[in-house]
Amino acid sequence: MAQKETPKGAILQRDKKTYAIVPRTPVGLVTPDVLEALARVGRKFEIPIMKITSGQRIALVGLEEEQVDQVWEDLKMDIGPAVGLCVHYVQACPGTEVCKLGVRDSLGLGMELEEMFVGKELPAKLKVGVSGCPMCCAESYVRDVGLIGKPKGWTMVVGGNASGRPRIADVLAEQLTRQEAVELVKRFLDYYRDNAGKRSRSARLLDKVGVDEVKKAIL
Amino acid sequence: MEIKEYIEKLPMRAVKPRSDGSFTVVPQMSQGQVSAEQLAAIQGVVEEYGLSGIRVTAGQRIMIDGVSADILREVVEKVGPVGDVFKHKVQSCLGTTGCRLAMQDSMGLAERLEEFLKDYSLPTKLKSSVSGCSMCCAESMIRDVGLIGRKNGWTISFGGNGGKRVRQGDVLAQDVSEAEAFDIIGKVLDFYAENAKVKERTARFVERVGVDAIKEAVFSD
Repeated sequence: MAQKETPKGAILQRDKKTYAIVPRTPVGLVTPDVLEALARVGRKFEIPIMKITSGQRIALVGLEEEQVDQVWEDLKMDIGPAVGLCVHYVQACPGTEVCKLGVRDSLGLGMELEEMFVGKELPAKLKVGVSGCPMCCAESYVRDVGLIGKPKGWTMVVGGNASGRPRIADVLAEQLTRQEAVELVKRFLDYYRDNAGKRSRSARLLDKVGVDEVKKAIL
Repeated sequence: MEIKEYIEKLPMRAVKPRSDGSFTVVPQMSQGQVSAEQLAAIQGVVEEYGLSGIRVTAGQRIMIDGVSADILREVVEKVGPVGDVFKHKVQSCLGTTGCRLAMQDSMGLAERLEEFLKDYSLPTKLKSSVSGCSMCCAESMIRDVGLIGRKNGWTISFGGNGGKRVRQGDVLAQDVSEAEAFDIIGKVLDFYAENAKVKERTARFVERVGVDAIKEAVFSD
């Protein structure tokens, strides 16, 4: 390994010595095996901080450089992108799987989108939120791509952002079937890839071109 | 009903009944921190009772779904502390505890804010977030109360919402100290508690009364 190269999937911490890693846990679901691996690794390496993030993931913080590869090896999990210019994660609320209010299967659609798009290279990072009803527990209106389950189908919104410069997403299309929603997400990601400047988040692209322009291009 | 009484005696939000008759058990954790021991305990019950796993939520919690009524008590006992200690939960990013970009100690402030908020009786739920820098990883601008750490202090936002009727919070102050921030938050929540309608979230309240009225209530004296 080249010197001074950041270890696999690791984020250098404040002390410039230790690292954080974020394993991939699509739509926040953690199976018994993964849970077992996380608990075991936490103990074995005496990981100082394990913290649940706002992106429905568990960050392992304070690893020594030489531990990073060993931890990944023990975990046998994929990396959840946390710094690259790509699709970082898909969040989802429990939807019809668990929630009384759920009208659409947000976990299922979220999982499908996660598998298709996480890691896809884009001009900047991109976050997706899939909510199973209009309550919007996955905060779809402040994600780059948001989906909201309604009785007549999925509503898709784009260009949201929850940062220090927040932006409320624009409605791109309504009453989509699940398949149409997946297809439209793909078309939007391609449009974003081809039309946004480097490091420009989707919110800034929508500020610039407006949602009607996006509609014209991809609907 | 016996099981209902049992749930009522547990800490707040420890167990949620689901529409299919099962329950969701919520282990206790603040700012999303979970120890290896706690994870091992959670894993232990998941394995012992053959549950499907856990769900990590955007509110920085872990949920154990699909717990049937007959095993609920055992799961709750074995999983360790459950539910929330404080009424109003505060989310935070990692802040100076680890993150290279952090300007302020967001986790520490979030912990103290939870303590500070515990005596407030409010019209409805209140979500708060503390971010250690302007990247805003705790999404402070879309919370009822949001704090953002900058080099010279804290920025306070009020009236944000990330849900159905999404709203960007209004900035009430910038570059204030922690003590000043708590003073301002206390005043704005007093004003909100006195003037809001039943179940009116802060976003709707700010829309109705206007941010100027709020600023006047907070800063005029």
